[in-house]
Amino acid sequence: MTTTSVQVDSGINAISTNRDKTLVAAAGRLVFKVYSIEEGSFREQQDLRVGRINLNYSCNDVVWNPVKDELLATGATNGAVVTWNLNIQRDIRNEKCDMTFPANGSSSGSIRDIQFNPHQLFMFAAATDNGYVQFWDYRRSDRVLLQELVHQEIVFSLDWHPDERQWLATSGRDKTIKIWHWESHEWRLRIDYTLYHIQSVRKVKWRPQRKYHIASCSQVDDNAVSVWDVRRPYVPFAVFEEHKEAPTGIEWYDQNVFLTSGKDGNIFQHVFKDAKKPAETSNPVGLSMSLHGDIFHTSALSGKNTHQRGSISNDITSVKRPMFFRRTDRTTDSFPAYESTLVYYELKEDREDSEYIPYERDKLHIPVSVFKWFCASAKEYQLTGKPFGELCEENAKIAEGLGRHQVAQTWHLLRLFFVDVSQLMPKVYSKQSSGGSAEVPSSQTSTEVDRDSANIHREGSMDQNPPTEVSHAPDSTTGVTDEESDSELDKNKRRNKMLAEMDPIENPFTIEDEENYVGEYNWWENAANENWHLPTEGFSHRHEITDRPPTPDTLHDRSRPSTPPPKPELDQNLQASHNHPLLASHAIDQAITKHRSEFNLSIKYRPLIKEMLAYYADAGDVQMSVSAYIVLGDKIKGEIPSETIEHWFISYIELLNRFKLWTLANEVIKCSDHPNIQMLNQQSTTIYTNCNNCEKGIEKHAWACSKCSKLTNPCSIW
Amino acid sequence: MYVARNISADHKDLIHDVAFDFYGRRMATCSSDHSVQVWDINDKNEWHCTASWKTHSGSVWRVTWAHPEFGQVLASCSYDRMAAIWEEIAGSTTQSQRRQGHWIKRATLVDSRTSVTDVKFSPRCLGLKLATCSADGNVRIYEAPDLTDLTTWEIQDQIQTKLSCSCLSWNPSRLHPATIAVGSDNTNPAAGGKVQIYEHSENERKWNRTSMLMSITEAVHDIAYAPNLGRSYDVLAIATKDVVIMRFDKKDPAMIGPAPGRNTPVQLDHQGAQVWQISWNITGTILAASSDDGMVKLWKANYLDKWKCIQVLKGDGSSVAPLLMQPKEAARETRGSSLPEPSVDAGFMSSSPKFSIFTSSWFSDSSPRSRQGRPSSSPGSTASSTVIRGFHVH
Repeated sequence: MTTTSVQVDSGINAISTNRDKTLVAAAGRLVFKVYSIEEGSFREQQDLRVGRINLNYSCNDVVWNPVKDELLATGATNGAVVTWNLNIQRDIRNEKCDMTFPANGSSSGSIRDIQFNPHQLFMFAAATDNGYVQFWDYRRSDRVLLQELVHQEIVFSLDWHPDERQWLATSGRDKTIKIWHWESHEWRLRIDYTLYHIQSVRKVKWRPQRKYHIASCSQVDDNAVSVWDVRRPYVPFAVFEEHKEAPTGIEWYDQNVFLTSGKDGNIFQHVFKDAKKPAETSNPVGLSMSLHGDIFHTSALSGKNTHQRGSISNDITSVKRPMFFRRTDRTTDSFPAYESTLVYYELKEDREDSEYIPYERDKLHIPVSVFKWFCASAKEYQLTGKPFGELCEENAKIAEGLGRHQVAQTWHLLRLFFVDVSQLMPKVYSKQSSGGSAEVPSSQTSTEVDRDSANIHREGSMDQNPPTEVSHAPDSTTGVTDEESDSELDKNKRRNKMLAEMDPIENPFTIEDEENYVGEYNWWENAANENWHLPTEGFSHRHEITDRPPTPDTLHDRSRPSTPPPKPELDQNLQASHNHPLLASHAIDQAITKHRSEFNLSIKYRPLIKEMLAYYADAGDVQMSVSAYIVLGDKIKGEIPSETIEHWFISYIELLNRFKLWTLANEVIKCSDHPNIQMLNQQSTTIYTNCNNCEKGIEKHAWACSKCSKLTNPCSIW
Repeated sequence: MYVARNISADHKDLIHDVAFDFYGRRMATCSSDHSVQVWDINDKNEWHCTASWKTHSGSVWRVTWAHPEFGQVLASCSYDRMAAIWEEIAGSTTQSQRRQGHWIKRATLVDSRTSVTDVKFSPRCLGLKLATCSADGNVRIYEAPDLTDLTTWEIQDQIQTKLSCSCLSWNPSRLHPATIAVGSDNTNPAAGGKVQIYEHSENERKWNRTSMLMSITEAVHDIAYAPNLGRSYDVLAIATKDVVIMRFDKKDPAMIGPAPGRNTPVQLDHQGAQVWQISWNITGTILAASSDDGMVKLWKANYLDKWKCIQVLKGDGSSVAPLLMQPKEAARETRGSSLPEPSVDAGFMSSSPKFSIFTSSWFSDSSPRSRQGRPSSSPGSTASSTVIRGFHVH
């Protein structure tokens, strides 16, 4: 058997097969034909729509006489019932009505379908337009045996189960198919199953020899014929999609073959092996990964479980019932449970309290979650405000603390690329004196290291603070102090400081307050720096001001000249260090070698650094690319295409926003030198407020709500 | 370490899709029972179903969130040949509304004549657009011209792929013109490549097919572009018989660029199990793939761009140490997973689908893992060999 079809002239409203299933009659508004079903094909036997045509022959329904193969009955659209005799062609009789059942009675509504009960000879059921099913005994037209509301709207179709004596299926415009259990002793219907159809259901028909299967087709807008397992109410068991327009009639040939007719004028013979089974091709698993790395996973309960269920129930029946009572029908045994497990894999640290994973853990390559390291780095990375070498150091430390050794090494490398080794000298001191949190001092120690860095212009303002404090200090060393807190400690400190001034390198001092010591030592150096740096300071201040013009375009244009080319800067510094009386001669040498070497190094390593930044971006760590780019500042300016820079910045900002680190995102925007990025925090800066009383958005006046005419709170943002 | 917790979901049939929102604090599920559920996580890290409502009159295949810039917006697609747009509205809850929460239907997209198999919002840089694909092979691009009015969606384009579509994915890269990859579940190997890539041409105002991946001949069930955070190339993961990862260089999107160390697409072996859905982590470095044996495998590329399975999560709540782990590590892992033993029989016998909640720390950052063991920790020391290799310094 294969899926075959025959094209009838026009839309078919109903089909019916004879008792032996050898003939099928197709009836429609303009068609009435009989086909014979032969091996794999339809053959037209008779065309009954000949001769005089009137409305009576416009068929809505057709039914074959279950006993006499030559008799057919049709229901016409005008209400006429016509019987046909195939043997006497065109001998058409209008039969007079034998009996009338006052179906409408109290609950009015026309009848949509009538089906005789195959198990009780005299009983038939009728479906009404207002959602009722009525049971009648056809010998008694005076009263309804049973009337039950089965659907919200029109009941289009009903069908008695061929084997289960108690089951009746109804279908309606409310897009459901309902399986009713007729409790005959109580004369009422109890619902057993409800199937949720895709559209209003025109026709239902039980599948022979399959207890739970029923075929259905839609009234409109859905061309598929579905076969359902009533125990799975949402998903059809099999779907046949051959029709081009809505199917109208269903006739089972045997359990695996059935015929359907459609409004497209086709009769199809469907074979089960050609069915589409949406349940089998549907996605049994779902998966989603959140930005925190959490995973939701859903999967269908595996067949193993359902099998167990089935075997358990079989065991019970075998124990409870004697052999001969057991159902022989094997198709009705275990039914798989269509359920999904939904699993949530939440990403968590092993130890909730620990900020960073201890170093030993990394040896085992147990990495921190993306979320953890990303947010920690985003918060702690130092991007500006300190000299270059210092920033690299700090960031390396942060990366190290997060167990991200490659990143840490990269920061180290960056520092090495651009800072000459001789410039690490001050570092020696801070190492000697290390032990305390050397943040403040270290920031000052290596100012020198970074004197040439273009960043200094931006950071200039930050370096202003130490000198003002310090300006009192020389007084204190000379003993002219206003303060009376001349404790032993202070004296000690001062002594140490004096020592340090004399011979900073060789002095094997021991001091109580290491932090202070280093700080003051550096202050001294810093103050010296201030002296020769003063002339340029004025310019940097100017730039600070012009750095935030009202419109982004002008900002870009003006910020260009504000960052001077590195070359003159170097010369200036060199000159400055030459001229300064307080600097020792070795400092001059340092400065020269440093500038020379950095100049060389930067040329040499720029392509490498470019490649490195791209590598990190490709590896999914755009944070590193952007952070390094900001820290490097002018050192690699112009090396990377502007659109790539924009791409990185936007990606990083988007990531920060996703993690709800909005202030950090804003800082990154501020740090960028790309006009398009800087635009980002200058667009739509309007803040909309809602009335604190009625939650309506405040439009005109910020101080009063137009809806409830009340004054708003003076502070409306929280 | 994974810690399991169980919550029962009230879906009455198979769940077909789960989707996290932009911030990972909400989640939507859709099921064959015609409904969509929205779950929210509270301060105690517990998921609660805050809305459950009937969305379609057929199996709901996929659900997806729009960018929160456009509001709390969900799109669903279904076997009933429709896609629907849902929006959550602010306001106080009345008793009658409680089940549905505040989700109201904004639009129904009824253009498809067959089951709509996937729906995806475009990347934000393209505005508020929506792509759907259907079983008859049509891909449709919709756009909401007015962002404040989600009831109006104009069909912008319709692409006929000629193969029944099962999944689609937008290329998230902002450097590209709008690009969509479409996968087909057509099982006939002779029907050609099962993944097609379409690119929108601004000049011609239409979508052109830029490539058909002829190497993919098996049915494709899911497809996902990796998030592009500053990458210079695109990565596409395809769930077919195995998972295939492909790399497209920007310069020539039609060609598959040779990735370092190999020239062919990467195949991630799932030992014969059918992979149905895949998902990238936020940075596009880890791929999670779930197969019909109920397992989830997490894949990650090492610094040589070799993809390794770093974790296997079993659907029943236990996790398996990946093969590449060292024995010591494996022991640690199993100890971790043994903490919460999932109640097995409860999962089997209960009438409602079960949630299990797991906790894990087995995630990696993006740094290639050093096989040299402990990297040097002294800050001033020169670069280790791993770093140099990573940057191709010669």
